[in-house]
Amino acid sequence: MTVDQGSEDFAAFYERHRDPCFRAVLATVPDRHQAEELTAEAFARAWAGWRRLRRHPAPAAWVVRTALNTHVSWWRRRRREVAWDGGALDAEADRAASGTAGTVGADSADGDATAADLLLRAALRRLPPRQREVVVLRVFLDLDTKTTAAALGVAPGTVQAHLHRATKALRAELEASDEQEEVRR
Amino acid sequence: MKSTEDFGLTGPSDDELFDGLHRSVAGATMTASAADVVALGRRARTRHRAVAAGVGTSMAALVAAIGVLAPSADSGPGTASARGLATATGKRLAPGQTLDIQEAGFSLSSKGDGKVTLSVSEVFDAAKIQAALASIGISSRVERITASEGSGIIVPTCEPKTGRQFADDDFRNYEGLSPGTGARAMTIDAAHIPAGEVLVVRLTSLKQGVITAWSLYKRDPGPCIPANKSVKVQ
Repeated sequence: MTVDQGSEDFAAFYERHRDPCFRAVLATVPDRHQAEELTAEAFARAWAGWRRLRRHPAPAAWVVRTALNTHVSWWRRRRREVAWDGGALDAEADRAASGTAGTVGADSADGDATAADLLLRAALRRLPPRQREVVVLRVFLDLDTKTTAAALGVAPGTVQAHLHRATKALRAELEASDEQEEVRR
Repeated sequence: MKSTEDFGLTGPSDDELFDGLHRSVAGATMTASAADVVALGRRARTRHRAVAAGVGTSMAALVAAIGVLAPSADSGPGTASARGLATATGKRLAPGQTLDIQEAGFSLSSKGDGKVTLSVSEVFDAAKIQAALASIGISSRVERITASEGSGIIVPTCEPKTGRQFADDDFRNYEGLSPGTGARAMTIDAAHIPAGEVLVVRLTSLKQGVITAWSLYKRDPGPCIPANKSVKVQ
């Protein structure tokens, strides 16, 4: 099959960015399979609009944002049908906090991840959407502030503010976890 | 590409936080190949619902690619007549201001984040939709199209004026539009639509359902004039 949408080499773009984008989505979605579906769908949309998207300041950021927005849509649909299982995230955090990170399972990507790492990821998912987007683009796609701001359509100062609030919240989660651990001991 | 100029604002352990996040997904890889993704894109492009949903923000590109659909103003298949531009008359939503307009044929809502979600039913009044958008400061042109259907769906293309084709330069990029919940819902971020730009919504009535195409134009594209060409959607 040829990859012929637009004159740019979409395949090269995909090969270069697919894993970072997937990890960015995986960090924010509880289920690995869902993360892969969302990422693939977002890339498919990127392919469909590649002629325009290639001019985007950060096409990979567009892919990640599209995947995350699609996830929100899925979540909204699901929320209408059944109560959203928000407890799943808490359960993951609890498992991480209790040192059973190895059993976190399907979406635990790597055995080197510590309990604190998984706790962080669970905390990331609880951040407000915009803060989460900023962290994901800055950390997983390695974008600088200016490019992140361009990708989100906000001012660089707004990116800095969101990042500041996000890291403060993440740190607070870790500290709270540490305190709980101390109490357990 | 990465810079850390803003990391310093948040304390020395930010790098540890970010390293931890990296480790939490390190080693995870996509199994789908580029060919898989392209195949998915091709399937999605030909699905009515995918088109109706705007396929995210790629809709503008798709509309440009197929030449833009022709309106028919409730008349027969393949015919078209123009609806006028509804210029913004009201003020845009202030931060925190919510909105909930429920009309027969469409709804317009906002949760106070400055974004409005327009959901269109299969039976709708384009003029009312335009008026509602204008009342919240969004200039729009909402047009109804009737496609002819045989072995596939034939949608007449249109042109801004006789003999001229729409070009890439006529469109603004897709920033400001994101799919809402449902096949004919779009969330519009008015902050990304400067004054003078026009939201164009073209709704193609089919025997079963409606295809909705959303795009942003840098300026009013004028009424769509049916071209002699047509596009087979399916």
